[in-house]
Amino acid sequence: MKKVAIISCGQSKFGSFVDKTYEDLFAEAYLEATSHIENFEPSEIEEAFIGSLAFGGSQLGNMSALISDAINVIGIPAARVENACGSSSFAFRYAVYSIMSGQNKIAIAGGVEKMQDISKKSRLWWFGVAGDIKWERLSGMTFPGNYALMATRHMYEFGTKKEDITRCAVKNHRYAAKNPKAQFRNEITLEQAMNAPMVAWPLTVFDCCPLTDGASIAILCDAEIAKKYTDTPVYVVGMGAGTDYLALYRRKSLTRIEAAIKASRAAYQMAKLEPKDIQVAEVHDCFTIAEILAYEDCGFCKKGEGGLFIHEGQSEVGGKVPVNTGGGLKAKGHPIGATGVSQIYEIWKQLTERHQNQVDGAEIGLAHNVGGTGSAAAIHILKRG
Amino acid sequence: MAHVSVPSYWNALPQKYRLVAGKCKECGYVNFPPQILCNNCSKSNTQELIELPEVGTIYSYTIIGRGAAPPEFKKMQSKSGAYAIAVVELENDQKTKINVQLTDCDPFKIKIGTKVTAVFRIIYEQEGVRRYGLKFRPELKNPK
Amino acid sequence: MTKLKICGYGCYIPRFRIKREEIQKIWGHFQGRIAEKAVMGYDEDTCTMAVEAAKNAIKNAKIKREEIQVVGIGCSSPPYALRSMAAEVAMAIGIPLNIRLLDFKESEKAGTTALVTCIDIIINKGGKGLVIGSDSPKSIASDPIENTYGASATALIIGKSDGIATIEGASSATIEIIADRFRKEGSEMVEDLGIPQYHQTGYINSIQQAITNLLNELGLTTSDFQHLFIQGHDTREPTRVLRKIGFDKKVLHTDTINVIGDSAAASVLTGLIDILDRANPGERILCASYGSGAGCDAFSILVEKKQEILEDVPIMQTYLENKQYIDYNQYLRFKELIDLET
Repeated sequence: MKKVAIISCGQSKFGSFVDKTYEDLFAEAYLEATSHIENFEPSEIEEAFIGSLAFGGSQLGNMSALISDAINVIGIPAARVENACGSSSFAFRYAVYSIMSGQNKIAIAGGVEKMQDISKKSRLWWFGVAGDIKWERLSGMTFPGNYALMATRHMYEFGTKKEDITRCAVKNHRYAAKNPKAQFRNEITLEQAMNAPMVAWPLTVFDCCPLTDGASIAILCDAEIAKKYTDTPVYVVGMGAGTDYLALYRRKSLTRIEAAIKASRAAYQMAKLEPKDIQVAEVHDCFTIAEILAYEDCGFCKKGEGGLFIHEGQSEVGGKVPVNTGGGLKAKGHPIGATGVSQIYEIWKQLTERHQNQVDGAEIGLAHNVGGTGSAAAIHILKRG
Repeated sequence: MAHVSVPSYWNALPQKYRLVAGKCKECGYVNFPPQILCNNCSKSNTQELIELPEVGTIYSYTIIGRGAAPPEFKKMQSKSGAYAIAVVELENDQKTKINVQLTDCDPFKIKIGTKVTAVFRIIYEQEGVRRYGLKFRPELKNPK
Repeated sequence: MTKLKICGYGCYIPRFRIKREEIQKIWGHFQGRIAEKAVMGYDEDTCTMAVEAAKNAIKNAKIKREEIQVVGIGCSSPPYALRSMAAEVAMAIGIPLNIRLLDFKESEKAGTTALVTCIDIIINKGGKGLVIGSDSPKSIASDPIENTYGASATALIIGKSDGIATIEGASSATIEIIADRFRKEGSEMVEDLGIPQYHQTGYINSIQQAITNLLNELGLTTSDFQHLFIQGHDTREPTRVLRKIGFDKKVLHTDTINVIGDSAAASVLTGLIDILDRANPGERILCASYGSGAGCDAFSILVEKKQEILEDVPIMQTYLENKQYIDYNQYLRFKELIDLET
């Protein structure tokens, strides 16, 4: 099997851009990615894997042709990959496979989403399309509500404090404030977040990620030719993925994302690494409780100790594993289909020492991306060359 | 709106109305909702239909804030305000779990462990058809 | 007539109540004499109330669902103008559907119309009958007739044997009057022509006629009855008939109307089981409905024993005590008397 390298990454600004099209956003990410490398010809791209939920439905079918057009690579094989909020991590996974197998020398993986330019009624409809419809949504359940069920149970089983769960939002806003591409560049206080309007008890509006327009891209190649384009290739050393029941009530536990646990075990095994080796991580904090569960599911701390982990500052820069230094889904933004690869973009920036919240000497990083309410998860471990 | 059309809802009526589950004749595992392949032993078409007890306890819960409900529930929420959703552990041996809306209660007084019983209510209305099903309320017993 | 038994019964009263004073405060006056009334919650309709009452009745009567040969529902405010509520209720409870499923919604006495019809069917077919009255009529918010409209549901299991009470006889009478209350096709709102003379003529004469016929048929006199229930829009209306039919006020029960309000097609069955909860074996109950159009069904019921109280099947008193008062704003929303965004 071939070794796979990331030669560059790019990301559009995240935010509300009702005046920009899918093509505009994706081209913006692509142009950033190509600006970081040399000797690269677009015609060298052999295949494209594009993650998108197509939120709003304005280009629900054949998104990949539209995106190929946007970066002028029409003619190559391209497909949309959909796994809800985990879409582009799975797009990335399949791009890696295509190079590992020797089929492609160079492939791109990316994602794009536009969520701001549709009516409130339509937005509310699209919110729930990736959860269990028959039993959850049509009992009146919402996405935040599903994560709230996990929070309620975590607080009950482990005595986790709501304050500690919400600290994730405060931390991620602090990192996003320094990220020029983040949707929210303001810091918030714990008190402000705790007292914000309730969305799904115990989660307030500050425990929830925003709706975001944005795109992301990673350019991957056979490691043997990586140095032709960059002096600082980053290698994909571990990857894993998993699934779980769509509906929460059918899962064994509400305090763990089983799919993410399976994914992390597989990724660590492939990389021959352990959680303690991870120096920086981007995790899927669509809701604050999801970040707490991610600490535990990735093995950064024991099950039930996620609240303590952030309380002690272990997920800050300077702690055991700095998490979401780009601002996370919570504050950098969460353009569903673009999120997974945008996490890889943050880790790539850290490992190539480009990050605005740089973790000194970071050589190994992890990206943890979850689809839906935990029904799918993909984890990638990246290492500096 | 509609992604669960009338025919699709119709398929689920025995579960929505009476908690009909599939008990595997091979391994005894209770599948809710019933499955073609048993969730435990993967044997196919071996499930006997049984009705689960309409009594259980709250395993976890949340309260959906005003304006945050799915669009199918917009009208209901303009009447109800915040409402609670729970995962309820039913009183069968296997403690089968189910995701339901709670009713007839102050959502802010719900606790994990609260005993609840099933009641037949309007769940939502779509395409002009009222979709009924079971919700749960705190148990109501006659004084001794 | 062959005498049928009431094998068991169950009721349902919604948890929400509004006090007379709360409505009076808004409109400056309150038409009708009741203390408070029951209001269906945001996720209830006459179908859901019927299901809960029916489930309770089946449990109390200790019968199997398969024994039921007919389901008859009386309701003047069904969720659908065209669609069987009896079928929906039977599906919800899990009653095999190859039986007679009957919906009556002709007037406020539809509950007793269901009862008299099901009596005849069970006499002919045997097995058990499930008779339900479920209702929550409404009028526009500013119309004083809306003041006393409440909500309840009651279900009886009837059969030829194993009873707690005997239905000794039933009699009906109709008086021709041009107009009383009515609800036009396509409207949810009851209207009143507002000519009290018409209402009183229909009300008093049809009830008097039905009761007279019943007593004659059974060879009974007023003194044979220890309990009397007469349907009415409020607690005062039934007293207007007392003198005409020669009953003493002491035997008249109006408690359910006083705290539930006028639950129309559910009113008589609800009043009846409230009496059954308290009456002693050997006592006799007379109950009479009234429906616009203008007719009355009257029944004589002989009590044999008290129904056993099961811990997990709420009795009427339990429902009545499990109440939460709402303000007028909630009342308008719950009853959809204002426009709501959809």
